[in-house]
Amino acid sequence: METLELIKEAKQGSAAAQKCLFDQWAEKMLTVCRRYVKNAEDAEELLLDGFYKFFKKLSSFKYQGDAALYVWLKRIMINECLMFLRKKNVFNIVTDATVEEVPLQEETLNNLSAAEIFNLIVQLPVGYRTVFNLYVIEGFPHGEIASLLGIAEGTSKSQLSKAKILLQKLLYQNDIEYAKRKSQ
Amino acid sequence: MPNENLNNDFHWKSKLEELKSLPGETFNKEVVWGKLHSRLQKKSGGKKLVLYWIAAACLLLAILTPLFLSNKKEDVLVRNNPGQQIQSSTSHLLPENNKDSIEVISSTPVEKKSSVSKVENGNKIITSIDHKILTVENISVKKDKKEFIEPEISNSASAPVDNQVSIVAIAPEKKKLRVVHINELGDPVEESSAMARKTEVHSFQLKLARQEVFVNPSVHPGSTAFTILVLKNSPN
Repeated sequence: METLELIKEAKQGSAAAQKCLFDQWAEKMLTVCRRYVKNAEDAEELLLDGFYKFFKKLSSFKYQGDAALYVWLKRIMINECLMFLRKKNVFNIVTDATVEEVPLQEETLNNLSAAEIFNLIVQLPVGYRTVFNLYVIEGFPHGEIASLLGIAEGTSKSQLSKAKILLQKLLYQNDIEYAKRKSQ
Repeated sequence: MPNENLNNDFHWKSKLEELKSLPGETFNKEVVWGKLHSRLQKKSGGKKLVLYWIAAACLLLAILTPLFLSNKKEDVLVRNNPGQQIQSSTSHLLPENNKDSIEVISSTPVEKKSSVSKVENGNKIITSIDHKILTVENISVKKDKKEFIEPEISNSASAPVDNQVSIVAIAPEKKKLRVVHINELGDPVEESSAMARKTEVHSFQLKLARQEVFVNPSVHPGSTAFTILVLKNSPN
């Protein structure tokens, strides 16, 4: 069944259609949640909340293709994650980890798989990770990030720069491992 | 920023979108879907329940509102009592516990003239409660002539619960005169004309224009001559 049909039926309250949509998007959305929230159980709970809101608001959604549906669904999930993080008040206790400047090796980045990049991002502290996700991956400007997280714009910028520095370090370590693997 | 190009050169987004599932983790869709489905069902059921409760509350309100309003009407009448004078004049006629009802009554002014006429036309026994009779009539006017209360006083002690009627019930009972049949009086005593004259002469006493008139006892009772009257000024 096409997504449009599924959405129509899901709007009418069809559990089967809702399940189809859930099956179609659940795993992808879980990766989004996990990028923001490290704990697997929390991420699953947020996924559940996100889908619940998605089905509740589905009547106001106008289907314009799968890409639009993905963007909308992802936005719901991100909002859920940010709400969760705000509730935990994590942005006030961001660890100011001092990291050395490590030269970026672009070749290393290109050699990394999607899963390895995902694991790199997840290793970042929550503050860095959130700003990095929002700015680099979702494409939000610093002003919006600041309003979303309830922090100053300057804080968002500094968090991003620290996140990148830490990521470079992690990449460097990864590159060493990669070099080791390659030499073997 | 020395490493600002990290964002620009490498396409993080496109790389991450290749990721279809979490690396090294199993995700049980069915369990999560089960939770989600139950939550969706539960919430809709809860909403229905709330709607039923609201409907029940509205129904109850619709039933109770007329009852409250009917009670409130009487309160408003008591509060907006303009006829204070009449209230004070009539309040002494009723017992203390019925003063409220008098207030209700006196909410419409009562003309004294009409009360007088009522006394004239009405039963002598109920003259002391003529005000009450009038006020009962006034209530019937106040209620937009919806109910007609007869001006006659009901004697039954077990009067209806209605306020106005209870006022009527409070009024003293009309004294019933014993009906005496003429046979019970017995036969009239036949008196001779002479005997009648005799008693008249001895008991005759008049009071005219502050003067007392006495019959002269020295005059012979049997004589038909003129009676000598002794006039004495009354002390009044």
